[in-house]
Amino acid sequence: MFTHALERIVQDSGFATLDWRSAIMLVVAGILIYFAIAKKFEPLLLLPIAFGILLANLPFSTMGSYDEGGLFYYLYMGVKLGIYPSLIFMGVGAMTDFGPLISRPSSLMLGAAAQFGIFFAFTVANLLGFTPQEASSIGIIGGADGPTAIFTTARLAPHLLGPIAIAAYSYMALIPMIQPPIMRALTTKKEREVVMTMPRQVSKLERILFPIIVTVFVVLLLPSTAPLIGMLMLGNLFRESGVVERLSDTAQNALMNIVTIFLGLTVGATAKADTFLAVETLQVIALGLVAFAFGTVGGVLLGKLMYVLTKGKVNPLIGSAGVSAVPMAARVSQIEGQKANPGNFLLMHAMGPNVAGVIGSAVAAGILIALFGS
Amino acid sequence: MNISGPAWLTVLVTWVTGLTYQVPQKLDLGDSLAVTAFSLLLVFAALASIWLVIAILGRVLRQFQKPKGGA
Repeated sequence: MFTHALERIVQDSGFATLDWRSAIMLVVAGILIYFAIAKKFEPLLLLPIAFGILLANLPFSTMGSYDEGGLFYYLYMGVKLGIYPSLIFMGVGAMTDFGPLISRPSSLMLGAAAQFGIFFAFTVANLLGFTPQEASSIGIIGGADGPTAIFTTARLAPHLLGPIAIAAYSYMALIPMIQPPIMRALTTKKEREVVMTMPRQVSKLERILFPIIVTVFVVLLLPSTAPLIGMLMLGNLFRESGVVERLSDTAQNALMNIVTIFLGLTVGATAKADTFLAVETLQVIALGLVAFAFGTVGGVLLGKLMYVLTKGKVNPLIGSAGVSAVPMAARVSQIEGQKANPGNFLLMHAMGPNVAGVIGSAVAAGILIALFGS
Repeated sequence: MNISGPAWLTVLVTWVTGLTYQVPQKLDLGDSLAVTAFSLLLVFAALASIWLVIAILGRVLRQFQKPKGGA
């Protein structure tokens, strides 16, 4: 009797059905946990993503995002319906100072140019045989904006959510390694040495009007951007109005942290062995790198054009910050600027294109959803 | 307001092309490039429009906030 019971427990356990594919996924989860903890690569999202992968790939756990009735099945609705990325955007808006962008609105063009990577990768992905929906989701990795990538992929190619989220957050963490060689290759030392003049002071009224005007204008132009741009600007209005400090604080701290946990776990839990271990995943990861690199190229090249048009008043290094990834990409511009000229301080100037990149990638996502969404 | 010149131009071009471009269902290289060009143009147009609005708003507000001259 006891032997029979023991045998049954063993047969029903996950050990009996753990195949090599699930084992590989557990190793992948372990590697990502290592990167998040030991290397601090975007740990706030990479750690829950990695643990989501771990849980989803344990046999019989029913913790995959597509396992009907499981915990993550319900939490995943927030991703599927586009709720979590929009709420995260509200938090991002509450944390973002659009002052540098308002004082130098031409920075918006750098934020637009850096979206080149999205469309370059989109074209290459189409040539590799991906559908337009899949190619759009892969390209959006180049926006260097995790919530936007997840928002777009959940709508256009949900089966690619796992690899795209992992690629997007991994490359965002690797920006200090990906961007500098491209920035140095495309600029001369003379260009990198340019010291820019301080931007003008922005009035409180301008700061308050900015999120309202941008919301009305962009959503009228591209209604599909409403969830992202609308929530981004709502968060920013909380911040700039100065009358709802509690809401602003909640949006950028408590709410954002809660949503980040749900988002990370459920996106990670989409990456089950049967869908993740495919050639397609490697292609997505490679194309994501292409998108990031060409986004940087687009931003720096427009920066060079602005350098010429302004007769040397704009340092082209700030163009690379247009890829979004706030504020890491702006910090990279600052570091590279100081390497060329130790007295240079580009951070404030790079924050303009950097926050413009957030708007730019949301707009690019809206366009792709409008073109290829059902 | 001279700085907003390129913004006007981008908006204008996009409205014109946007009215004539049809998105195909299946994408070969030519289609992909067309979608890329059209989409990038639209991104530039959207952001150029914001540039334009901010530039106009900033100019108007600064006019109102100029210190009044007096004896």
